[in-house]
Amino acid sequence: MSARGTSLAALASTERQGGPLSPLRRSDTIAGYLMVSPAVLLFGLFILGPVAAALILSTFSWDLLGKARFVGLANFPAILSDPKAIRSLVNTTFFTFFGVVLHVVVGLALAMAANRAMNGALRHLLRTAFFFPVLVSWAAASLIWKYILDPNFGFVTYYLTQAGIAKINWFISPTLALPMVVFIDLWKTVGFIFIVMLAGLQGIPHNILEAATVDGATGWRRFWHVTLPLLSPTLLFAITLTFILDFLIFDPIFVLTPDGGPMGSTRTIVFYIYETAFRSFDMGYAAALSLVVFVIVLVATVVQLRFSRRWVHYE
Amino acid sequence: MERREDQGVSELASSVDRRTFLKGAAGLGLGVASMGSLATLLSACSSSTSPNTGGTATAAATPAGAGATATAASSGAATQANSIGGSLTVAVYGTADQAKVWDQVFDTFRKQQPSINLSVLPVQSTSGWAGFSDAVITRIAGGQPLDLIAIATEGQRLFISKGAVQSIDDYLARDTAQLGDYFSDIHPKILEWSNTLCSPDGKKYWLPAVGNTMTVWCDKEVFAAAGVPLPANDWTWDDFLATARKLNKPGQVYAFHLPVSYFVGLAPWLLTNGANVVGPDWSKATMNTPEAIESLTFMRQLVSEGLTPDPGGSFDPYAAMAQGKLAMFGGGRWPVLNIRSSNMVDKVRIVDWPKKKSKGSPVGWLSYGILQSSKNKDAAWELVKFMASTEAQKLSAQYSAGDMPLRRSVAQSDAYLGNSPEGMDRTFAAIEYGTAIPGVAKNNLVEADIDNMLTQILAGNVTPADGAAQLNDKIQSNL
Repeated sequence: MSARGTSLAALASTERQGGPLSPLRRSDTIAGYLMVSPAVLLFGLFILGPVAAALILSTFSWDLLGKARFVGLANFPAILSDPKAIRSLVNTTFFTFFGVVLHVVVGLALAMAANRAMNGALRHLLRTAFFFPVLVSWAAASLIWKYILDPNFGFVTYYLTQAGIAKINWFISPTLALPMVVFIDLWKTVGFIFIVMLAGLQGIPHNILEAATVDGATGWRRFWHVTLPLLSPTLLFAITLTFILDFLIFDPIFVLTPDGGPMGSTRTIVFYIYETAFRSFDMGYAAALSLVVFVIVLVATVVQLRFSRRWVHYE
Repeated sequence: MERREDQGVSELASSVDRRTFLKGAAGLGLGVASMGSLATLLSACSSSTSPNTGGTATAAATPAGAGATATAASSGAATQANSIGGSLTVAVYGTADQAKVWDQVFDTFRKQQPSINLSVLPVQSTSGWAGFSDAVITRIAGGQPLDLIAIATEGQRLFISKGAVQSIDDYLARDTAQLGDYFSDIHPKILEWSNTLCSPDGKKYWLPAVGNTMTVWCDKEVFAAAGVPLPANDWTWDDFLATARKLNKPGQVYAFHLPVSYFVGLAPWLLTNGANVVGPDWSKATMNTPEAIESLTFMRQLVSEGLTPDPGGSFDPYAAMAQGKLAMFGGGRWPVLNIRSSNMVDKVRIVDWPKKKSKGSPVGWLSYGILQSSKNKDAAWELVKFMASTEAQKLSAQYSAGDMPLRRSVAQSDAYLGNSPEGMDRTFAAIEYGTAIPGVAKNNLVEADIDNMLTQILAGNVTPADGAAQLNDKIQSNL
């Protein structure tokens, strides 16, 4: 260690022991606090504050306008005996599982296709086309699909009927409604994953791919043994993000299948929280549900990150 | 609530009044977060429990306290009338454009009460009165200053159960003479239902203003083209089915539009078969009776035979009728807006709903409730009285036209019957044999369950018997 390093270490040690901060050090410290303060403030306002509010609310029974009644932790075990909550979690798990798988697979496939050597105009057209639905609001996108699939006037219904296939009432069928929402969500949001994947693909050094080619690797082997490992950090990001967004899905459920869909088949957990809070006016129970969702997402994300050490390669 | 009481926690739970709860929560939240967001959230909520002004007592948060509030309000009655002023906000169901229509009626009130600054807050809903009620309650809890709410039968008990509206007993006692004309003119059945079914605790909360019943609107041109005579007012379900089969032309003309809806879709078919969603006192679900199942079976038959569009899609009955693609639909007074704008007044005729066991129609009405959160209750009461007046009901019939006046004199006048399809008088006549549309305290949840199950039954995913049984259980759990 250099003399200067020794001196700084000694100074830091002195300050840690409660000694006075040097003017320079104090100035740096204040500047540091000032710089992080906006982030801390926003975090407190929009994350910590609401979480604290939810924690408090979850220990009460409160209908928004009447008296609040302290119920301790009773809201939490009630979730286990609430069939709607259980069904909502099952629906959400279904939606999230297929949402994540389809987003990653389709997003990667689209990115691979758009990343191939092609005419510049065509490349831009494809990228715009794939990404465009992301820019459409959920309300508009949902209504578009409602019209497309309308059982009386939708053109899908028309062509199915012309082909001799019986009318399908997509959003009324308890078995088809949720898969259809998964599909529409895929159409609407896969463009973002496509862009992420494309950026990841373009970040892979060409010389590595060329070296693999020179070594005789075929297209599939090159993809499996070179592209995919080098893309693994991007895949992890895409999986984590899609998981969180899909687990918290609300907008298309609300617009496409109001009231939780046919026989509750599209009622996701966030939609159920909304119903509990603003239709049943049971704010305490809704807060308890939201905390459960928070814990599920947190644990699942931590598990994903922990397991990612086995398959994500950062070098 | 029952969920937790079952677990024996109720005896451990201590009640905390709303303001204390909010303050405590705010304090703890601030302590934990050291941030202002929670305080903002909770203080916004707390502001909805506001004191009365003009010498009245603090508004109680529960119905039990409403009487005291009204008593205090009436103590200042001597100084009211011309001395009333201030701001007044009334929440109405509809879009901003529809609010402009309301404004045309309210303008007369503004001229009569120039010191009252009346504003209209339109609240939109995609799920009928249930959604409207949910939205308004959330706004009140959020601290939005509202004085009055124009609420239909379906939501009136909900607001009473939340302690959101105040009793008008003392106002009524004070202004009995002034309202004598109203009580002698309004249909007595409406008044009775309003004072019993919609005011379950013995107090009075509402002065019904306008309402709706259900009748069948027929396109005379489609009937003529098909060579089918227009139905008489005493027609039956069998007549209806035979007529519909003759009128229906697959791919060209639907005979009837059957929407998935509590008031418009389900209730008329139940009530014309001696069935209903709940019993006469709204305390017991009755959807699993043979009559109710028979009604559902008949409705499903209309779909399965293709006489009505499939449920779940978008279908505009007014546009379809204007294009000659629809022969009949059910409605109250409100279709007249579209009928007029499409120049169809002369080609439509209104007849009674077909009967199975007896004539029937749901009857719903709109009342103005004074909110506990109002800081200007005396002025609010003036608007309630105005909307019950002959003048306001005539203006309402003339301008808004979406509701039927409940004063017999107005309902039988040209203000209501003029520029309307032939048979418009049948809408008011339907009150005689009609039944109050059930509006229980948790009607917002009941209505959602009805819509959901009715959709499944009409689509053929559930048999009418199974659907009725499941729906009965769901409704009973919310009574």
